[in-house]
Amino acid sequence: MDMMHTDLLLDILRRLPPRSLAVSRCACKAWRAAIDHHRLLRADLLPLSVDAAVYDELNIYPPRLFGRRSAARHIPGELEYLAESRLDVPGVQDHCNGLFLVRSKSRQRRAKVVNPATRQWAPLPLLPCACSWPAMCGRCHNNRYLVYDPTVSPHYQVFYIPRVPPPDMTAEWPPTPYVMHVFSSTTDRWNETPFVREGEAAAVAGTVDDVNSCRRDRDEHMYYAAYWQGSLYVPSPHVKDDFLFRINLSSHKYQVIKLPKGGVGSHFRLGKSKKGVYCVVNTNVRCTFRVWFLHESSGVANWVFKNEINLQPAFSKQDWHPGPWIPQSPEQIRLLLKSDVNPKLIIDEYNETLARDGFDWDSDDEDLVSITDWPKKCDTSIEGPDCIGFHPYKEIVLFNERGVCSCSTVAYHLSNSRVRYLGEMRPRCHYSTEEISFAYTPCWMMDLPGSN
Amino acid sequence: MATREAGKKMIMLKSPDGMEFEVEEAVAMESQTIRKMIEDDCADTAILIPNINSKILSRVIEYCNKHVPTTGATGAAASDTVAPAALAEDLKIWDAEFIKVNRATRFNLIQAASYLNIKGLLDLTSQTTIDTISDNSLEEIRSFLSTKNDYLPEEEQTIRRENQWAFQ
Repeated sequence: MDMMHTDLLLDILRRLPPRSLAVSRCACKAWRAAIDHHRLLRADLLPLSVDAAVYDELNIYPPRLFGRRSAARHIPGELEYLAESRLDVPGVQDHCNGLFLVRSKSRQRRAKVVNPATRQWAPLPLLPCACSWPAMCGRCHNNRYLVYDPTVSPHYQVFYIPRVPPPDMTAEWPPTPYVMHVFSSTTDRWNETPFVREGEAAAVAGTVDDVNSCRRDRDEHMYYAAYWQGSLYVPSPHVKDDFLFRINLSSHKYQVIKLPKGGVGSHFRLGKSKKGVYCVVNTNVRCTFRVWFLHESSGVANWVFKNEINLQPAFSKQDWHPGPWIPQSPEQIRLLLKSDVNPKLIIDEYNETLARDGFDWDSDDEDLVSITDWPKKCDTSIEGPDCIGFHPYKEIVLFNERGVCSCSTVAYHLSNSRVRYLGEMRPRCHYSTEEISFAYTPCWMMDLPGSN
Repeated sequence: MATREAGKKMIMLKSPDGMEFEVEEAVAMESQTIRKMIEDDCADTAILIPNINSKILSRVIEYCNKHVPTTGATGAAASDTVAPAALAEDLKIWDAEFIKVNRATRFNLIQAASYLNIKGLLDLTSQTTIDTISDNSLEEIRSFLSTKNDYLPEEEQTIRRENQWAFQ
């Protein structure tokens, strides 16, 4: 049984996804030699590090990028190349590991999936939906979630989770089976897929009557989902308690898990970070957040309290050195969009500038400031501080201030409660009713399924 | 040139342990290696298949028999023939049964598929290995493939750290 037979070994290795290659390098010396010699593992193409934040005030401006100099110089935040007409302003609806789900702001409802680093994109087929323009229910816009993990597969999926309750008021909610619409790039089709519930729902969720008594606009809000190890975690609006769905993509089962306790009208921001799924909840005290970690072992999930963060000192501190991140300038965007992407060149160039711009996420960096001994209060001059995402592999959470003139952005290290100032985003427009913002991990994998 | 009336013509395959297998030329030509020998006219009498024992060779022939197009196509058109959906489904079920073999047999089959250049069989046999590598921990991969860990503990730690993300 000679697996060391080099040709055979290579045959197998060539077919492995990046994550398995990374694990196989550790199996024995011969395997590592084969993988390294043939450069089979390209970790530099994978979305492993947060290089920027992207924020999109839907219906107002195109999406904007704020990040390290190398990201601002190489990746256009604007997606105008996706526009189908001059009036069409594509907006980001969800993101997952470097890939964006984009909807058209015009009345056409054909969504697209785009990788802004390589500028490859693929249109999705129209979602069959009971309602159609002009009487759109709004439900088909939101509650769509992108699932993509290029360390495991080049394919992506899009979930549409309808929250249209059945007519029977006393029926249990969420139902079982719960029929969701799932698009898969392997089949290039939307499929109605039933998901069977595991465990009780009524204890945390409720009945259809409970759902109907919620505010009508619950479907028009966006919820940040997290994707981790084959499961999609989607927070759900208030029914009896706040809860999330844990949807297992391969077994077609789902669980209902209670969200941690928050303040009045709390926002739950889920995200994938170092050990799994985390949740940031705002408390009743402005500027103060709690961070929880979802501990899962043998099918049982429990929220473990990690940190309480008061960001007031970070935002009112005036003497920060200029941050390492910059907002992408209109000139940079123009320049980038004028030229085509040459994938091979741009990846090398990007890696070179990454090494040069002198920024990394190490937590022993001297620019980090401890805020554990700062007083717990918040003055009203700080406007709506918000969590904007997580580092996928380090315990770091990004926050920013949504002020008219000041938009300080900071990174909070959970392990040592230290804060690093990243810089000032461009001020937001306050007329926007919807906004999406997230930590962006560029992905340079080519050959997006479905793209031309 | 060997004749192209493939349905009729028989070919003799010999394993190194002395067994002989008479198979239709079209079936034998599922193997690109054998196809090349036939096309180059090197296969007048019997073809000796080195390194593949009779047990494995008989399984390979079994696979090729099942997968050779049955619609009267000649060997030359074999790979271009698209099987109807029902037939494809039937083949998939058959493949799943076929691959239920022990580890040693599977590796021998991979080797045979690789040497004989039978793409379908190579995909089928290596997929299980790929799935195993993809779904299991490092220790399980090592034991499944009987790979000996020749790293010192600290070396292994260093290599792990180079791609820490894959272990999270």
